[in-house]
Amino acid sequence: MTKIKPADVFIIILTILIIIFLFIQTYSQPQDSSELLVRVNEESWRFTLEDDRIVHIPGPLGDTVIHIQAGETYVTESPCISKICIAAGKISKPGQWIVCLPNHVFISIEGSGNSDSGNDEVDDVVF
Amino acid sequence: MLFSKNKDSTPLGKNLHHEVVEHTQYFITHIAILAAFSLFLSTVEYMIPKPLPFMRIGLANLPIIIGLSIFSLPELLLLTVLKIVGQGLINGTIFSYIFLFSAGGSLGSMLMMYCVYKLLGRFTSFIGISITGAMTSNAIQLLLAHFMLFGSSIWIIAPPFLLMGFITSIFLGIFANVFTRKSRWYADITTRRKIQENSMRKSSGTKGGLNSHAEK
Repeated sequence: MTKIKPADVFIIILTILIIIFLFIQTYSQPQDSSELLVRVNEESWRFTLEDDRIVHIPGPLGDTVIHIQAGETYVTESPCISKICIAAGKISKPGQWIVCLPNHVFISIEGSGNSDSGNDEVDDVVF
Repeated sequence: MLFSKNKDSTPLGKNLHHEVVEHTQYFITHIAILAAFSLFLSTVEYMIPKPLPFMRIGLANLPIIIGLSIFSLPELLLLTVLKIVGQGLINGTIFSYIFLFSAGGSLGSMLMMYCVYKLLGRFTSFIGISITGAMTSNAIQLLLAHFMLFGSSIWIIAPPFLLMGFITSIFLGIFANVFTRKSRWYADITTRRKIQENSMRKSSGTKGGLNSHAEK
């Protein structure tokens, strides 16, 4: 039990392999696999951000019109009164969302890439 | 208590019984010493800054690694429980969820190291055993964190966490190797253990299989 022995080498190599595998598995995920998720009550739709299109989402009040253009999404028409969803502007990154409460429409961009690890900007810094 | 199944009433048995009690006391004393050592190492480790709350060096596991070759399973369990409680007291985490992580990790890694020691003891040194223990402990902690607190996002820190455990456990293993080679204290205990095992074998040999079976 004093010097290094064959099974030690085996265990060390095995552990290194497991760790390398975990590193690759965890950190090499595709970064831009984000897609658009639209939910109305129990229903939901998924769209890719790559293709430009105009989508009509039926809600309790009427159709909400969503534009997908050059990787960005925004609401152009909504039957609601306040039009906050239109005022919300364009979203393009995972984690961002637009919501229209009167029409029960929830629009969000989901992605495994950099959803909550802010690699672009910091919310706020306090010293 | 730990060897109470060897109590006998014949003169020869009484003699042996005394011997066994003496041995038991001797080993309980050494469990206490190693547990105290573990407490001390917990304190040292508490002072070392760590990047993340669970990223620890695992110094306090050193007594358990060394204890593997000296103690039986119940004794090791006692040592591990003492270590867990002591560590909880020193880190002030005894009544928090971190305590569950440490308890699960320590018990799991101890059992795993015990299995590896018993099965592969001839082919491994303390380095392999230490790595096995660290990996088991880390894996259990990650699983607990996954199911109790953080969900799947915990796996983002898994690779560096395991890597850190791997590196520190190698050093602990090397230390344990050197320690068991050089320490007179350790040599004394292993000699004692051999004597005790011999005397126990002798007692069951002279009394015959029948009596010892009836005792159980």
